[in-house]
Amino acid sequence: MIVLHNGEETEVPEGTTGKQFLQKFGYRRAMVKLNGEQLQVITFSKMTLNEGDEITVKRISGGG
Amino acid sequence: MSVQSSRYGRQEIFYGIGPEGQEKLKKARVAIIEMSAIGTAVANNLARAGVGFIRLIDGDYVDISELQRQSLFTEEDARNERVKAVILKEYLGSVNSEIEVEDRITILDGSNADSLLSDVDVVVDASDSFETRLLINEACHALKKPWVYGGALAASGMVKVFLPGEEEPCFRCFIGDEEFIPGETPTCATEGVLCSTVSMIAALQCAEVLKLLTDADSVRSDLISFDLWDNSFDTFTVEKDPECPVCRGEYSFYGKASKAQTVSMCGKDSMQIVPSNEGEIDFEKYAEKLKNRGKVKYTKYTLDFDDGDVEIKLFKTGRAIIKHVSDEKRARAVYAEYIGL
Ligand SMILES: [Zn+2]
Repeated sequence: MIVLHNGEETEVPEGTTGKQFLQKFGYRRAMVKLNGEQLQVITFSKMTLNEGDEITVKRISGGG
Repeated sequence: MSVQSSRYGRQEIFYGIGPEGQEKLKKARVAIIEMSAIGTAVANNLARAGVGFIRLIDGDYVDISELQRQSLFTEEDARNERVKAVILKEYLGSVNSEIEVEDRITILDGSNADSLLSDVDVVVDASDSFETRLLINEACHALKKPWVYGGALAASGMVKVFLPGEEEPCFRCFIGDEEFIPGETPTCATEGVLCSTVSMIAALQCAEVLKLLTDADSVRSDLISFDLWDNSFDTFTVEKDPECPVCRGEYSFYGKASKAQTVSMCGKDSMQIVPSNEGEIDFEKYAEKLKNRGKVKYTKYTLDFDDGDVEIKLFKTGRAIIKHVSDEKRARAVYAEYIGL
């Protein structure tokens, strides 16, 4: 199925969970919005993604 | 002199600051942690705005690879490996002689945080590691100081004001308790960074600093996040973590005696040795001791030693940068042999 990952159409397997999604893209320490609503990473991780979901993930930046 | 023609005229006619706000800025005291790309831009901005006292905390010297993003440094500074805090104190003093700029050539740690941060009104984070930010967070929690986090990575950045107060979330609430694994977190050395990114972060931070210092009621409570390459701007809410140890006053860095440490320097192919006790090294004596073993030269701030194999930059306090070394053991051995642990 197709979801929007930071605005880009991305193919992920049916039934992908938030946790699998974050792992797939190597996110650690990040902020997440699902369909415009901010979620705690822990809450998002437990959810199952649906076709067409808009997922915004921002890594917490550490550089100076 | 009319308001328009005075030095701060453009700030004094701005509704958010006004002559009263300008007066507050004059009496204000700010500490900036690290003269990084963000730190140099913040220092420039605040000095021009007329912030009365600015403390520049940094223990590094200028490298040519930093000129791409660290404003105010020149090729000559890089050639002479001049000490960043000293250059900026000099430069900002010439930009604004009405303010006091203090250079502290050191690295913030658990034992010097009080002396560096307790007498300022606002602390600005321009560091490049989560560990330093966790320390700033604890120190500011203990000292009840507002501080402004700014983080950069490639074309993206984040800014958040952390305020003192029972109800306020802290930086530890924000990043959670996940163990920090060196090498797993992307850094500016692995992903690059644009000057535009750091300028943007510094601008956002400085606006918040001016609001805090002038008691504005519009201090941003959410976290702003942007990416200049994918054209995104987002805001996020940072929530208080009921399990957060820092919010309970349990600290891991602040107030702890610092241990001797060896740290690799982001993007510099060098290792830094920080002794557990900072002293005051007599460069004249040291130069005498080392001169038969290689080339030695020193200034008021640093001593350079080079025997064709080993290259060391020693600071007054005993801290040293061992160049062209990426191995901790080797760096420590060099330090022990030439400077003495
Ligand atoms: Zn907290």
